[in-house]
Amino acid sequence: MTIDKEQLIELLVEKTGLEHDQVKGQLSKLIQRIQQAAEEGKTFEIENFGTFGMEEGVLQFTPADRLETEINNKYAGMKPIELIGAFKEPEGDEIPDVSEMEIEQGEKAWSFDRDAAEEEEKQAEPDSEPVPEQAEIEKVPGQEPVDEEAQEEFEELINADQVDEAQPSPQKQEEATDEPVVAKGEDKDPIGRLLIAAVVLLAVGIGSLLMYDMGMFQELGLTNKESPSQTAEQSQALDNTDRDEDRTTEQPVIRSEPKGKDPVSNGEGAKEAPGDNQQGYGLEGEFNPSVNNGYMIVVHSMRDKQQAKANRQELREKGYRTSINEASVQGTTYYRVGIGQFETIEDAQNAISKIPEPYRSNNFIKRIQ
Amino acid sequence: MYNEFIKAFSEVVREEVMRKNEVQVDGIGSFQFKHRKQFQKQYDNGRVVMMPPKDTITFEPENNQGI
Repeated sequence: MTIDKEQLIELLVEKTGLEHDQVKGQLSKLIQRIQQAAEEGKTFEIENFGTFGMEEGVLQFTPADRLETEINNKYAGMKPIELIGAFKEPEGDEIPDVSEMEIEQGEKAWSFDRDAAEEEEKQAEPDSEPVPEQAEIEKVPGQEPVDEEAQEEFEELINADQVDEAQPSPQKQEEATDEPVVAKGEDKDPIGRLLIAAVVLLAVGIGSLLMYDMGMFQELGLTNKESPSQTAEQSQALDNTDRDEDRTTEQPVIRSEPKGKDPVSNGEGAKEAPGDNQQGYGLEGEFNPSVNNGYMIVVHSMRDKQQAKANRQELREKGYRTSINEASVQGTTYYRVGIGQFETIEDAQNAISKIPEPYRSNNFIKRIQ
Repeated sequence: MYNEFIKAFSEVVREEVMRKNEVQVDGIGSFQFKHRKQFQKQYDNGRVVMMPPKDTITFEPENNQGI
């Protein structure tokens, strides 16, 4: 959906409570100031929103950290996941190295081959002699089709020479085609082993992820409870971007906040009392259902509703303000136990330092829906 | 009043963009919502990480804009 100028003015009228014409005037004033600043090569900054500036003759906008965080609210707290053992990319990188090595070997083999060929020509018994050498020579071409072709061409040349003198040429050709199979197996072994090791590591990694996913460890000790399901959930979140798009349909609840206090809600409230009982926000005490806007620190996330309730009770007894938030992830309902009600993400982040381990290091901030 | 207006303006843009709406501001350009998918990142030392997905706001300047 596109918000055009008229709709934007409507929304601004709603938000500010000003008259339509006033809003129109203010908006064009703002636009003019941005344009003017741009023309003079200056930057124009809107606090907690972003900066406009000219770059290469085009107006550019750099969002402020705060705006970026707000927009990225859905994925707040998600950190890069280390892919241990899943060395897909490095393998891709290693292969060129190996092939370089192979080329070197190939060159050696080539010179060797040439020697062998010469020896062959000199020696009177071509039947028995070339077999072992040929085996070694063929290893590399077996892996490198291009080399193989070249090798064959070369052999043809040799053979052509040999035809003049001796008869073993067809035999040799056969040997050349027969040997590679055995030789290849031997030579590829170290690389093969590496590959198998990588595949096994990958399988173990995926297996354990799946096990987390199934919630197999949920019955384990208390401290472990939130981490597995949370990790699984994170990875699910990673896997499925569609779901996120679905969830945005839930987001618009923000809109239903009372219009009067809204313009103030962002900046001033935060400045006055970060994270404390201003306007019903806070880390401790009872959950304030009248505050339907804000953020919570999610410390548990699990599929078992009873377990979630038990965890919530436990936290409540410790004096925290708790709430359970249901979220549907790929058709599975997760019960997220959150603590606190915070007006802004910053407040929530500040509060994280006040909560005990293991929650301090294992949580994420989420908008209360 | 002007400052309040700017605050309201940034909030409206933020909320609409979060709702994946494109906000056109005549004379400047438009703000859009953009989702960046997760991706694998590889460091030079071979370390591989999966970067999380990200939602971002992008700004598209108006075509006739410029000096």
